[in-house]
Amino acid sequence: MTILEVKNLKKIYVTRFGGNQVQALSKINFTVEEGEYVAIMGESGSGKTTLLNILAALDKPTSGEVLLEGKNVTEIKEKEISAFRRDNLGFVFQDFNLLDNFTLKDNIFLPLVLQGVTHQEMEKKLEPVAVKLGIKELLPKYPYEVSGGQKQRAAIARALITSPKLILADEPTGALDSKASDGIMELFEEINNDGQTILMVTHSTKMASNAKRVLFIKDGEVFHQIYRGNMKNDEMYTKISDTLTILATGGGNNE
Amino acid sequence: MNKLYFKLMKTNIKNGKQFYFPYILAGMLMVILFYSMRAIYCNEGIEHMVGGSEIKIIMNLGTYVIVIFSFIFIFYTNSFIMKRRKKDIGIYNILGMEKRHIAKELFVETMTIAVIVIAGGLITGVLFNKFFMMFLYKILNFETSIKFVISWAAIRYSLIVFTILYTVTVVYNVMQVKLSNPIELLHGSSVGEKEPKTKVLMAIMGFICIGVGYYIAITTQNPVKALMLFFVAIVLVIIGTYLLFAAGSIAILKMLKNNKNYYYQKKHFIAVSGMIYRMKQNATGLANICILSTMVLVMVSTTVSMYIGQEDIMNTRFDAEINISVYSDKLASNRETLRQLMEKMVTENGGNITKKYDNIKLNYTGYMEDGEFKLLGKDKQLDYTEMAFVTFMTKDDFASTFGIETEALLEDEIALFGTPEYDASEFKVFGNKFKVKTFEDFEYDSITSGMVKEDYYIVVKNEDVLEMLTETAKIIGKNTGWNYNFTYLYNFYMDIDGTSAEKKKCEQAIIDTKEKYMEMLNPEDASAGFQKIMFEGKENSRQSFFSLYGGLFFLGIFLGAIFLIITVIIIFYKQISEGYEDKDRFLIMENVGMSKKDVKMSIRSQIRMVFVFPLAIAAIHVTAAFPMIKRLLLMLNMTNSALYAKCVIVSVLIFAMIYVIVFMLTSRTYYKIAGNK
Repeated sequence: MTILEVKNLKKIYVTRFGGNQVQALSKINFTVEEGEYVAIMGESGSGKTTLLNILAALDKPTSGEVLLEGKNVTEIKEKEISAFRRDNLGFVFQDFNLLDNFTLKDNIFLPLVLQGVTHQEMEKKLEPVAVKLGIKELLPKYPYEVSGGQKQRAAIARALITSPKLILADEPTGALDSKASDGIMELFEEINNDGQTILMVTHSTKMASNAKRVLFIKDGEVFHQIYRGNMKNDEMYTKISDTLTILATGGGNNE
Repeated sequence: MNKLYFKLMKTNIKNGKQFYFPYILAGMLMVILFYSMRAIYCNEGIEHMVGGSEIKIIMNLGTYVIVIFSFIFIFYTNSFIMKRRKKDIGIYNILGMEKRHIAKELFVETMTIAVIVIAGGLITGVLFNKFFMMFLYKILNFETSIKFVISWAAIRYSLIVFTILYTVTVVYNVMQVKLSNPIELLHGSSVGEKEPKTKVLMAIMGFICIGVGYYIAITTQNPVKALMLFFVAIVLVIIGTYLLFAAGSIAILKMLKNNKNYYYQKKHFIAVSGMIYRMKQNATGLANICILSTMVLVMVSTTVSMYIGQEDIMNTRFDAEINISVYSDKLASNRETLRQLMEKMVTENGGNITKKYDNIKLNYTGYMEDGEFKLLGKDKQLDYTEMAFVTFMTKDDFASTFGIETEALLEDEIALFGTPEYDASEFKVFGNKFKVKTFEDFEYDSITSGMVKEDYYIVVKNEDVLEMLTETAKIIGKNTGWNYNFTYLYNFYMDIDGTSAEKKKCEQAIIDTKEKYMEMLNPEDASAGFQKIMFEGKENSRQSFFSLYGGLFFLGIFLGAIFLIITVIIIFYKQISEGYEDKDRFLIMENVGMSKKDVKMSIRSQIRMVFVFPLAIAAIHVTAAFPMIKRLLLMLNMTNSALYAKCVIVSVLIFAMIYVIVFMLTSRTYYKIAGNK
C-alpha cells in the first residue's frame, strides 16, 4: 500500500530583499510504500531540507501535492495541521530537540499529552518502546545527564510512541560520534523490520546504505534512486558512493 | 581608536534598543522624581508657608527613599543588560580585543548612558517641576501663584547622587569583565539548567514566618506595642515572602507534578514544568514584585485615607472649635468667674459662641496593683503598655461632657468607665478607698485609647472629692522621688460660627491676647494658683494638619508611582528575558506537534500564573496588615476604619488594573519573541 505520494512538488522562495527568486524544488515525484525505509541524499542546497519541511507540513509548496494515505497534506487547514502532524507523523531531528526541563520520560510523553491520552495508557505505551530502545533505566534522567546517543534514542522513542504512519528523520546521526551512530543505525533497521515506515534525510553514506531505497536529489529534482533488492549493506554502500561521485562530477563520465 | 568605541556603543544600543530604552527611560524617571522632590525641599517659598516645615521634613525623607530605590533598581536593570552583553564581550575578547579595551568600551557606554539619563532627567525635571508644585499646592490648599524656578541646589544634589550611582555601576561592569574569561563570557547567558531541589525546610520556614507575621499583625491590640511589633511583622513577612517564593512555590509545583493524573494533561504538563524553572530563576524577582506591590498598596491606601479623612481626624483631635485649658493649683471656688472670663475672651475677639461646655479633670499616670492605683516613681518605671491612665471627673461634668448620666453617688462611691473590665468591688487610690458602684465599658476616641494597659474615667460625687484626691496625691507624690506637680485642669470647649477665615481670625486674636486675660485672672493674689493657660483653635491647626497629611499624601502618591515604575520595568525585563529563553523550547514543542494556538495558550497561562501570584500574595499581605494599620492610624487620630477599608480596596483595584495592562502589553512582547513570529 502506498503511504506517501509526492506529485510534481515545486517550491520557489522569494528572497527577502528584492524579488530574486530561488527555486529550491523544481519537480519532485516519488512514492513511499508501507513498511519502506527510504533515505534521501543530496548535496547541501539540493533541496533536501525544503522537501522534508513540506512533507512535515511545516512549509507549503508553491505547487504540487503531497498525499499521505491519499489525503493531501498541503491542503490541510492551519488549525488542524498540528493535530495532523501529531497523529500521523513522528519526527527525529539532528539536534534531538529534547526539552531540557523535562525528564526523558516526560519528553517521550509530550506528544501523548498533546493528544490527550490518559496517564495509565501512556505508561502502557511507554513500556515496550523503552525496552526496545534500551533506555528504560534512563527514563527519570534529564537530557543534560545523558549522552548524545541516549538523547537520540529518547527522541526516537518520542517519535515512535504515537505509532505514526511515517517517521521523518532529519540527519539523525548528524550530531553523533561513529559508535553512537552505528547504534542508531541498527535501531532504525530494527524499527523498520517491525513494520515502521521511515523517510530519512542524510549526508551519511553509511546510514543511507542501511535503507531499503535511496533517493538522490540534485537541483530540486529526484536525480536517481537505488533499490536495495538483495544487496548487502556493503554492496549498497559501494553503489551509493558511486552514485554520489556521479552526482558530484555532473554525471558526464560514467553513464 | 576612541571613535571605534563610540561606534561600537552606537551599534550595541541600536541592536539592543528594547533593552536600553526602558533602562534609560527608568533612569530618567528616577532623576526627574529626585530632582522634583529635592526642588520642593529647597524651595524657599515653602518655608514661609504655614506647615511648610512639615512638608520639608516629608520631602527630605522622600528623597532618601528615592536614592535607596534608585540604587537597587538601576543596579538590577544594569545587571540584566550586562547578562545579555556577556556574549558580545566574549566575542570581542576572542576577536582580539584586550580586556582593557572591553572595559573601556563598557566605560564609554555606561557613561554615555549616564549623561543621557542625568541630562535628560534634569531637563525634563526642571520643565515639569512647576507641574509638580501645582499638584502639591493644590493638595495642601496653598493659595500662592507658582513661579517657574530652576532650583540649582536640587540640580547639584541630583548630579552628585546620580554621578555616584553610575560610577558604581561602571566599576561593577568593568569588574565583571576583569573577573571573567572569554569562554565563560561566551556562554554567559546560557548556563545549563538543573531541576531545583525541593527545600522542604525552607518552605516550612517561609510559611511559619508569614504565619507569625500575620498573627502579630492581626492579634496585637495595643497600638504602641503595635508600632514596635509592626516592624517585626514586616521583617518576618518579607523574609517569609522570599522563602515562600523560593522554596514554597517549588514545593507546591512538585506536589502537582507528582500527581500523575493532574500533571499529564495538556493544560498542566507544560505549565507546571515550565513554572518550576521559572520559579527557580525568578523567585527573587517575583518576591521583589510582591513586596514592592505591597508597599505601594499600603502606602497609597494609608496616605490617601488620611488625606481624605482629615476632617474626621480633626474632629477626633479637637473636641470643639476652641479649646481653652487652664492649669491651676487650686480648685477654684469661682469656677463661674473663670468661665465667664473665658467666654469674654472669645466674644471680645469676635467669636459668636454657639455651643459651650466645661469640666474639671484630674489626670494621673501610674499603674494598677491589687485594686490600687499607684504613681510611678524613681523605683517604679514602666513601659507605656504597662501603665494606667486615670481621669477623675465629677458626676455633673461627666454628664455634660459625654452626655452619660450616672447613678447618684455617695462620697465614697465611684462609677468606673473605660477598659479593660474592672471586676473588683473596691478601688484604692492614694490611701482612699472607693466602692465601685458601676462599671461600664467605655471606649473614648482619643489618642490614649487602647494604648496603655488600663484607661479609666472615674466619676465621683462632687468637687470635694476631687479636692481630697489632690491633697492626698500631693502627699503620696512626695514619696515617689519624682517632682510631681498636681494641678486641676479646667477645660473650656466652645464652638463659634462663621466662615473658616472668620474663625481663623478670631482664633488668632485670642492667641495674641491670651496673656492679657491670664493677668486678669490673677491680678495680685498669687494664692489663686493659676499656672498656665493653653489654647487650641481647630481652624488654626487645620493648615498644619493639611500640610502634614497633604504632604504625606503627596509623598505616598510619589513613592507609589516610583514603586509602580520599578515594578513595571521588572516585569518588562522579566518578560523579555524569559521570551528568549522560552523561544527554543516552544519551537521544539511546535515541531513535536503542538499547535500555535496551544503554544500561545500555554504561554499565556504561564505568564498569567507568574504575574498573578505576586499580586495575589500582595493583596493577602495588605489584608493581613489591615487590623494593624487600622490601629496605627488610630494613634494618628484616624478613627474612620471604613474609609481606610475603602481606600485599600480602591488602591488594590486600581493597582490590579495597571498591573493587568502592563502585563498585557509586555506579554505581547513576550509572545512576539517566544512565539517565533
